[in-house]
Amino acid sequence: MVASFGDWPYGVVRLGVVLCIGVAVAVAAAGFTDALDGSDFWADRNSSLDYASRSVPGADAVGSQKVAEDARLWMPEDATYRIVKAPDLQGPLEWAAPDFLAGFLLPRRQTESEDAPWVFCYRCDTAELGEGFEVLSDDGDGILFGRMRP
Amino acid sequence: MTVRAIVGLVALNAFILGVGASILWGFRGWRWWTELVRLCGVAYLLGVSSLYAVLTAELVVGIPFALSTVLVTGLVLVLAGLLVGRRRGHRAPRLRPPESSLLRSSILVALFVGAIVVYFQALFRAGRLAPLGWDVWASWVPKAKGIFYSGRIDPELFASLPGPSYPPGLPVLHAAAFHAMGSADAVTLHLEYWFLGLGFAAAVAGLLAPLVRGAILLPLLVLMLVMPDVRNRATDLYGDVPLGYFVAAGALLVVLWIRDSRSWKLMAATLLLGGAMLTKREGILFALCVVIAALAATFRERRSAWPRIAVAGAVALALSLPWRVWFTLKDVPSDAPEAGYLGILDHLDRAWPSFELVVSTFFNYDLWLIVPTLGVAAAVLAYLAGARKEAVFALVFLGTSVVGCAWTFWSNPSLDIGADDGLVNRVVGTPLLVLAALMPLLLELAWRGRSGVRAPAVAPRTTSQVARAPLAAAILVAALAVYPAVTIARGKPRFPSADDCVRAPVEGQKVRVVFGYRDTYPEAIAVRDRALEVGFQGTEAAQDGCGRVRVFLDDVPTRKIGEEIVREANTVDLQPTVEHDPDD
Repeated sequence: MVASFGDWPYGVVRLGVVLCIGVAVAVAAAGFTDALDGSDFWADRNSSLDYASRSVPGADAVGSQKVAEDARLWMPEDATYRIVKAPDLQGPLEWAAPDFLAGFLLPRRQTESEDAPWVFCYRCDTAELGEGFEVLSDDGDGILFGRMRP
Repeated sequence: MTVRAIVGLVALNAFILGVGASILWGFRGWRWWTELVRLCGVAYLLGVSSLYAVLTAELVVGIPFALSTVLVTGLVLVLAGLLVGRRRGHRAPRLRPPESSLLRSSILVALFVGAIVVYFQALFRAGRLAPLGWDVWASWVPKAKGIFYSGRIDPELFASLPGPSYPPGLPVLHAAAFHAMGSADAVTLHLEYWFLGLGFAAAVAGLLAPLVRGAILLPLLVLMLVMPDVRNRATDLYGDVPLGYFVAAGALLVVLWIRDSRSWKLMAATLLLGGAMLTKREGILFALCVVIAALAATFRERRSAWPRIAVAGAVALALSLPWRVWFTLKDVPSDAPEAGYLGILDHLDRAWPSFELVVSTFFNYDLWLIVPTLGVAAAVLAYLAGARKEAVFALVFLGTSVVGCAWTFWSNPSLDIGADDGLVNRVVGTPLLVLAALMPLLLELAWRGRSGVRAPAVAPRTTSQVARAPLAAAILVAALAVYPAVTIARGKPRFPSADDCVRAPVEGQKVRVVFGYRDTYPEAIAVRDRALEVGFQGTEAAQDGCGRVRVFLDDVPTRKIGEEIVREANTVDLQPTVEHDPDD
């Protein structure tokens, strides 16, 4: 068989197939080892995560994990809430936080209605919310959650 | 994150397999049960696709989504498959043929199958407790939770999220998984993708096993699975990898149909490509690439083949039409490219950089190892050996999909043309999976040349094969047992629960008196107020770090004092406990 590898085209093609499979076996063997090492690394890392790292959106998206989790623990499942942002708010807090909070807090519903009894304040002016705004959670960096007292 | 959730997922996926098996029965039937075992991966993907299509249509017409809806829909599909099979005259199968290739074993096969078993065990372990990625938090999980909690597709919710008109196939599957798990457990949901990966690998292996010798098929299957970018994203809850599974399995079935014209393969491919279109909007693009490749490969038989390919493409598209009609009627922003379909002419400066980005990513060894190079080589070798149709299919698909991937960047001016955010590898991953799935067939055909001789899988068993069977079986058993044994020896599997934050007191260290844990602040504050009322000043309610609210009295200097407080509290029916106070 080896002698036929020089024949054109079928011998050469077969030689090409042998080379392809040879390379594939070598690369797959190395890739398999890497895959196992990688999986073990991620398994150990994921297993060591705490509740907040695994189940609460990151602070890079929602500003404060503590405030987001407090909001989940405060609001009943049929609650509606709104997000009030500072006019100059920029970055992920401006464009990502609403989506992340929507997913995290469901079945609680996000609304734009000013009648919503629960409010997130993203560096907003709390005076604008009126005296009825009761702060229930504050991360100390302008991310607040609270409710509107009737 | 519980055993209950995992068991629920196993049950759901067994159900999906049953649904898909009945669809497969309707399409082709099987003479032997071993044939079903061989094709169980195809059956599984058919089950997912058919449930995608029907459940999406049900949601669109307003049928509430619940576990019962999933079960009834699945049972109707099972019944339909059985009825079609009966009409088409499929006879009841027998156990296995006298010379069953499925039960044939060799050391080589056992080694590679063992490696694949270990690979999936490791993937399961890595994915089980994974955190959620950016788009998963922002888009996939909110949509799935929306369907799970409300039982419908809420246009307002969908319109407020990124990718509002993205097809709802995966969110529907996620919502079904939530029901099966008993809660919206987005962490354990990662394992649903493990089942999809397993189904895809089984589908490729099952479709190619009768055609491709093990020495070619199995190393390439392992190579496909260990491509770093596919492996890294295999359980990440994005839509890209499942999209790749559907397109690759569909493309493989189309090629096999081009080879032997057995209609079930085109029917199955149609359903899988429909599934791809219901997974991500790019599904339409890649299905179009499959159709163009099929048209090119069957140019010589165009009078008979092209109408069938056109019908298959149209039916696949029709499966996603209910969704497209729905989001159009509901004024949900369209999934069309930002620049519009013709607006790309206004952004000609993006054309070449987009193309360059896609090609350079396509041949990036760190992402795909040697697969793209071997895939192109396999197509060229197959062409030289006379397997023109298969080679043309592969090369035309490759060419059109590279152009298509470049077009996605070219036509969306807001996308950075760069590889830093990983977006380009997510797009390019689908054609790579297609190439990886076609490669074993191309190399087998290249090896055979014009002789067309093959069939180690159906050749009689030799004495040496029989003698090696126990060793092969031992290798497989070891593969099944060794990885779990080694990992368990390093520590028992962790099942995070709320009780992880209940900490036993440590002798000689501060303690806290805990009046209880509650699921909400209002419940916890009622307990706190009761404690304050009876005189336990300083009692607080705060997050416990495990998803509940702890009501506690902190900074108690010693366990003895803590136990005295407990005795006192018991007299007023509060029944607290003493726990370690880590001062967090």
